[in-house]
Amino acid sequence: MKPGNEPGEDFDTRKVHGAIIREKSEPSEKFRAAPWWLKHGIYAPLAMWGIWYLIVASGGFRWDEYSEGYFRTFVPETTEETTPAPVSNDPKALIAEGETVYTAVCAACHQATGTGLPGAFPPLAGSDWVNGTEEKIILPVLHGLVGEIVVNGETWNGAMPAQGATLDDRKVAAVLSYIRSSWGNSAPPVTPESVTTLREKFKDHAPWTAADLEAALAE
Amino acid sequence: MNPEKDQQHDPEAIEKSRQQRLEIDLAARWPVGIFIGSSIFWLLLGSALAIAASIKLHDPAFLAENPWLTFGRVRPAHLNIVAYGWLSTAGIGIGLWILSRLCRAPIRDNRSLTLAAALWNMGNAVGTWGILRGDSTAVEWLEYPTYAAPFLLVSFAFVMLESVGLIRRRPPGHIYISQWYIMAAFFWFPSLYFTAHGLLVLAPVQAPAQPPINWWFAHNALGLWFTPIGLGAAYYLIPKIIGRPIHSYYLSVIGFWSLAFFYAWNGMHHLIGGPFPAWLITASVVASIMMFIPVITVAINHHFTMVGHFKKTIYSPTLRFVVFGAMCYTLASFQGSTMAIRSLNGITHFTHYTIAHAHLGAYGFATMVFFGSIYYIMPRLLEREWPSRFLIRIHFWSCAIGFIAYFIFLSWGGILQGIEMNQKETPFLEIVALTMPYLKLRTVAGSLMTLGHLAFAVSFCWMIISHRASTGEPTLFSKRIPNPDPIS
Repeated sequence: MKPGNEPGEDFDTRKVHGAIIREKSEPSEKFRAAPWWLKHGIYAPLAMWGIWYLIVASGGFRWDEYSEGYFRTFVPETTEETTPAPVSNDPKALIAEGETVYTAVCAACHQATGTGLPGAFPPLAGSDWVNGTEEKIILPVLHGLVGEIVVNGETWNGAMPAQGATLDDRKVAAVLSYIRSSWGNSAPPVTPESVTTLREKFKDHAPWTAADLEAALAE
Repeated sequence: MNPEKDQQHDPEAIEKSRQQRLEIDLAARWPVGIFIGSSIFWLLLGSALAIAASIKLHDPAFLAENPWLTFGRVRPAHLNIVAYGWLSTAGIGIGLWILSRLCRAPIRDNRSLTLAAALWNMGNAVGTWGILRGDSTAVEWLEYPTYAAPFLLVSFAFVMLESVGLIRRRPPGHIYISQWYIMAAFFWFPSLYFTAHGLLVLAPVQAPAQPPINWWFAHNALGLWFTPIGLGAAYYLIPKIIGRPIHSYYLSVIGFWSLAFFYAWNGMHHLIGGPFPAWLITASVVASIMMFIPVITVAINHHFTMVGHFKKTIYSPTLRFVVFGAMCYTLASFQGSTMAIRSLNGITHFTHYTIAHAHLGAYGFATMVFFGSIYYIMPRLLEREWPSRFLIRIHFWSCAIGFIAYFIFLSWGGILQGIEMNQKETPFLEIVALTMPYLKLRTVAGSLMTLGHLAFAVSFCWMIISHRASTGEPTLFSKRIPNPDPIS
């Protein structure tokens, strides 16, 4: 593959190779020094900030110091044992605790404002179930609820997973108290004791159906 | 005095370097031509999938009945096709050609490279088929199933071998900055891909360690693969077209090594707020802010090289695409650094703002620079001129306007979305409804970009099949050139 005109070729070499002929020679570089303002005005301040931030925001470079404590080095370390706050059955404390549980466990389906999702998850706000007897909502939370149910006259067909294994009696009571007192609901709070009683009575019950639940509650 | 200067004025040396370039381009014709030509096919397919995915976001019923075309498959197929089918394929071709030119050495084994191009395309075809039939690995940026990986890696082995050969055969003396970038990129990408695919798909490490590896790979695919090829091309083409040396070798070198040093840490800023040790995230935030160093350095170097010559972007398609791309690189990097700041990340993370940012880097920068490079390379490979300045104009303006619109719509929608998502009281569906108009406008802007790609593809095919004798004159944006300065 020799460049240039081969014998017998009649095209204009300069035209065919036009692109190569007209292009500039291969690029080169000048050796101008980096400007002083770049070094002192940009590189140095950036580097200093970087070192400062690495020191203060790395949680002491511990593997078990997670994002929440990244400014820990600014907080004086407390050596005294923190005694766990006394457990109170004050409904206000229960409701406050319930909000945390709700956000972590329930809000994904029933939404942060208890509206549910049309066609998929029934609402909790203004629901006749939520504002009815406490047993009717404690049991579905403990063991789950499947099949057709009627909420506020509308029929839903889904499956609520059981939470009894992951939430203890106090947490179940807390979250239900929160639900029963939020978004316009105004039913009395649920006590941990009533959850304990129902958990004992229907130990390891399979997920409820609406009919099941009615029958059990009628007893 | 200046050997470079003397060489430019010695007619014998000029003739010799022309002969040499001719040999280089002839040797590169098949492998580089196949890499570039097939990349344009993937660009079109990637655009079609992009539009399908975009429409699905505001019209979920669109193409929903066929499982092969559901959103969960179309979207990763788009990402992988544009990343490995378009950007990587074009990047390998462009990188090889520039490396060969700068090493003053023709590609020696163009058969193995042609085989590499074929393997690379098979890898992409198999991978895309795998994703669409439901075999995606579900690891973002690595969705191609394992059975596609050997094609890609074997192909890349040939590319690496040839690039080492080119570097070894270079004449002694100065190594130009584009050689640094391209050579490094040819080694970074396969090691990244091999490591990440091995640790995440073949023999997955423990779950908590997977996200850092995933984002280490995904971010480096942009920063240590597309970026160095794009910068290497810009560093080659800008001085080549305006006929002026690069402003400062020192700035080039600082830019290269600070990119290499800081970029590898950047990926963890995707995990801000996640369950990872604070120092890991902080180190990444710091490295992301430190990216100001290479970016400002490169921007200054490019600007001082270009200064006084910006008018040439009126005429030269290559220069206009490349300068557009280089400016987007600066913007994308500045934006990326700010997005790593914890408080701002709390708003922009998990919103469309991030998607807009990713496109500023991968499209505004890399894709536009690659378009410019292809406009420069093809006339030399084929010894033919581009057939139509009209099509080049359509290509540029559709892509530029379409992309700017795309970026503005999606960023704006993303900010609103991010602010609302931080309000616990706002129901999720309301936020979805809020982003709707922006998602529809995105489909419109994306379609305009695709129109540009079609013009480009038509232009490319026309150039290949046309039998018209070459005019020897470059195809520029404008017929009238103010002085007889050959600029393309």
